[in-house]
Formats: sequence, C-alpha cells, structure tokens
Amino acid sequence: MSGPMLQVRGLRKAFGGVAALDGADLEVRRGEILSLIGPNGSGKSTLLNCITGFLQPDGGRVEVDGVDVTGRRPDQVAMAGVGRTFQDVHTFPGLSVLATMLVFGQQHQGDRLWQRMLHTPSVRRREDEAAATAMDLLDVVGLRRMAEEPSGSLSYGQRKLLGFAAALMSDPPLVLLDEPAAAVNPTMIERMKAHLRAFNARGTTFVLVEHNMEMVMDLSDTVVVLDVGRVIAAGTPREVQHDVEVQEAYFGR
Amino acid sequence: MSTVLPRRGTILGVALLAVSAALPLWLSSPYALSVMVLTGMFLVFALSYDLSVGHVGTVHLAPAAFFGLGAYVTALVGVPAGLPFWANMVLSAAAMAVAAVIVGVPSFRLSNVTFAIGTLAFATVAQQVVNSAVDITRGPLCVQGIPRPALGSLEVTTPAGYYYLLLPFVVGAVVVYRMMTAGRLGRTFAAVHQDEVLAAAAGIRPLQYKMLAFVVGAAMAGALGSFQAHYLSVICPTELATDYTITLLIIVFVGGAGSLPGLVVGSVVFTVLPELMRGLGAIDVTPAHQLILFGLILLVVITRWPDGLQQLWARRRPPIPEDQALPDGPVLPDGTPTADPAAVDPPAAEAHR
Repeated sequence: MSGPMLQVRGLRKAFGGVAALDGADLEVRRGEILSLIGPNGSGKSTLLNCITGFLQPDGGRVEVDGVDVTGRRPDQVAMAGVGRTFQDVHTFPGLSVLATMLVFGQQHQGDRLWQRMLHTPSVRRREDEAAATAMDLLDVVGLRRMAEEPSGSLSYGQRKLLGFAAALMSDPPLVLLDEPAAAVNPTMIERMKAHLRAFNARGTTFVLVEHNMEMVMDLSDTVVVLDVGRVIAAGTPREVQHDVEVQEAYFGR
Repeated sequence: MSTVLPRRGTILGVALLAVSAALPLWLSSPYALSVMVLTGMFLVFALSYDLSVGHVGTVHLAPAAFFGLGAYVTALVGVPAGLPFWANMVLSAAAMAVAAVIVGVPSFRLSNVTFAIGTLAFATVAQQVVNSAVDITRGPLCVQGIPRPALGSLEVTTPAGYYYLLLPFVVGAVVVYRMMTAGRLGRTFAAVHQDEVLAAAAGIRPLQYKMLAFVVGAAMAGALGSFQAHYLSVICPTELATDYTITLLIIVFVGGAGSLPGLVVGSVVFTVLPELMRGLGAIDVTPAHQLILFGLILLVVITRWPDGLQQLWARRRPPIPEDQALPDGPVLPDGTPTADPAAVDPPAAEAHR
C-alpha cells in the first residue's frame, strides 16, 4: 500500500446557492500530520463533514486508502477507518467516560447482533479487551480516574480530550480533528500536541483543522490553505507562512 | 458488566419471581387473580413500549395498534387455521414485526416529533379499518368464540390457570428486554438516544437500532394481543384504542423510562391502586375518578421526579469535587479565558442522516 491515505478531488458543496466548497482538492500522505487552515467561512468544516459523510457533497470524489467513500453515510465512513472529532464538542451525557470509549470501539470489533443479545463468551472477551484498550487511552489523556463518571459531568476541555481518545479507540488509520485546541487552555494544548505526536509516531495519519497557528506550524508536515472553498496554497509550514496569497486571504490586499 | 442481569438484580428478580409464583396461594380469589393477570399484561406491554421510548428515545404512538392487530391476527387467521395457543402467539408476533417494518420504513424518514404523529396516524387508521371492515372483522360486533388456550389436552379455564400461563410469558419478556438493553446492545441504544451525530461517528447507523427496538417491541405487543384474544375469547376494535397508549405512556413515565424496576413499579401502581381504592369502599370509584387520580399522580411525579419513581432508589452520583475539575474553561483565541463558550466559535451546522 503506497497510495495516499486520503484523496479528495474537485469536491463541491453549496448551501442555498452559496458555494462553501468550490472544487476543493486535497491529498493526505500516509503517516503525515496535515493541517487545514483558512479564514472563517473558507469551508474547512464543510470539507471535513463532506469527507466523513455528515454532509452530502454536490460533486467530486473522496477516496480513503484507495476506497471510494463519496456520498457514504457517516457510519460507513467511520467503519472504513476514519475517526473524527467535532468542533462543537459532542458527548453521550448519560454514558460514563469508559462506556463512551467502549461505544467507539465496539462497532469495529465485528460481533454480530445475536451474539450481543446473547452476551456470548466471544463478546465478553472482546469487551474485556476493549475495556483494557480504553483504560490505556484514558490514561494517556489523563482521564483514567474519571472513567466511571458520566461524560456529561466533564469540563469542556476534558470533553475534548475524551473526544480525541474516543476517535482513537478503534485505532483508525486516519483521524480528522476539528479544532482540537479551540477553547482549550494552553497547558491542555501542550498535552494535546504531545499526544498527537505520539500517535502519529505509531502510524496514525492526522488531518487537523485549527486556528491556533503555533500548534499548526509546530506539528504539521504539510499545511493546506483553504479560501472561499478552494485550496489556495499547500506546502511545508515554512513555505505556506511566506506565501503572499495566504497573507492576502487572511489580511486582505 | 456484560452479564444479562447485574448480580443484585438477578437475586431480586428471582425473589420477585418466586413471590409471584406463590402469590395465588394467598390471593386465590378470581378477582385478585384477574387483577394480577392485568398487572402482568401491562408489564409486558410497558416493556415492549419502553424499548423504543426509554432506550433508543423514539416516542411512537402505535403500541395499541400492534397489540390490537396482534389480537385480530390470532382471532381471524390463527384460530380459523386451527393453530394452538402458543403458535398463535408466535404468528401474531411475526405479523406485527412485519407490520412494524412496513410502518417504520417511511415513518423513520421523519424527524422525531413527526415520527410520533406518523405512528399515531397509522394507529388511528388501523382502528378505523378494523371498525369498518365489517365483512372481515365483524366491526363493532366483535369476533367471538375464540377458544381457550390449551397445552396439549390440558385446557386453561381457571383464573389461576391464566395467571400461570402468563407468568412464563412475563419472564420471557423481561429476559428479551434485558438482552436488548444490557451490555453492548444497550450501550448502542443509549448512544443513539443521547447523540445521533456522535453515534454515527462511532460507526453506528442510528436508523438500524431505532428500527430494531421498534420491531422487537411491536412483536412483543403482538404476542400479548394474541394472549388477550385467548384470555377474553372476544376481540373488539376497542383493543386498538389509544387509551392503551395513554396508559402505557403514564406507566413508563411514572415508573421511569428505560428502567426495568421502574416499569414493574409503574405497572403495579397503575393496575393495583384503583383496586385498593375500590377495596377501601370509602368512595364509589368510577373510571372518571381513576383518570383524575392518575392525572394527579402523573403531575406530581413528573414535577417532583422528572425521571420517574425509579429516581427514588437509583444510585445517585455525587458531583465531581471542584479541585478535580481542571481549570480549562473556554479561552478566546488570544488566550484570555471566557465564561461564554459561544464567544469562542460558532457551532458548525451539521446535517446528518
């Protein structure tokens, strides 16, 4: 396997005549950290939602690891190995932190409905394995002691960390993070960066939508700049930083 | 955590079953037994309904339709075909599972609120059809002469007989309910209930689980309708009446949606309390009085215990101490903390299927 992890070609999406994505192209190499930046309203979140199936693109093509997932349902894209977090943090407020992690692991473990209904030994074994994985991940993000607490009782930053850990639960090859650092305090951001690097070193490919430029420049192998629904620049953080068009997009001519 | 019943629950359940099995030794009058049969039937009915309402969180308004149609399937198809009692229950359950798929496929395309209205429309139409299709259902004249249930050559004719016939059905319903709502499947239901978008990101297809709860619940209600047909030996269009649906909503929300003990308490309260009032003899209790009483109970419970009576014994979690909650409130992009998360970034508009 040597093709790109994620390939997006000519993706288009309009909301009531306003083009949010106007032929966006994106190629994410296996094992890299790619950041998607751009001014507000440039289509970053729309792009993420079109890739993960939460929005239906009007045109274009999305391939994950060579498999066409264009127009697939969100659950199908998730099962194809794409984990994601949300900008507006989502939780299952009544489920414990551990249970939330288990929800994210169990669909990928392949047990059948009747096995779940009968609580067969194989399901129980997988459950134990998943719980061990979950506790390890919670340990990494510092939420282990909260494992039995309802997710609804976590603070905002803790929910973001839980979302991050949950997205990694099934060990997906590709993880899309929608503004993981927004509204998180600097200490927590440093922790998040360390986690990202560690998981990236283990082989996970990350796509990061982020406004925190320090984090973007620090972590990224590639930076892609989006403006009014199109890619206007792509390259290493240094190249992009000095790109005139990028500066114009942010600060005006 | 992955067993069908928690250990404490198993012990309590077995004890309750033993008491239930021994109850006719003390309460042996036909009257008392008929009340106990009613309690058991409402418990099964509430369990079937709660799979949708309490667990995946889709309120539908067609349980009475599945119950009544199940009774008619037994009366008009199973009995003429000469099927035995147990086979009629299976037939009615299967027929209502199919009916639920047919109703569910278009209705689940609607939002949660319109879904409730869509199922209410189905229930209303079903009752009208049963009432008007006189050539087939005899309409308001009712289908009569449904034979008493028989196991082999043993015919059930006594109230105690019906009670012991119902008991294994109740146990079966509880087991199915627990299998559906505990462990991984129950967790999936809860995830769909609490955040469909997040559930989809976890690889769950919400529609699939809503449909599963709806179909299994309809099958249970259909089997119960079949029991009702054999129990009363007469089936009328009133078996499809919305009154049952209202009653179930009261039982589920007074007892506690999604809580097995809550449903047990709700069913007992709803069926035994009116009889106790009658037993007191202090006032002449009419159905109107009962409705007033249940209206009051519902009012008190949903204002005092919004999660139902099960809140009275459910384990309450202590709030997380302040020092454990990390100081990581929202910060503006320049690093200043803010109390208002909305100031930081507007939430993304997300469409989901």
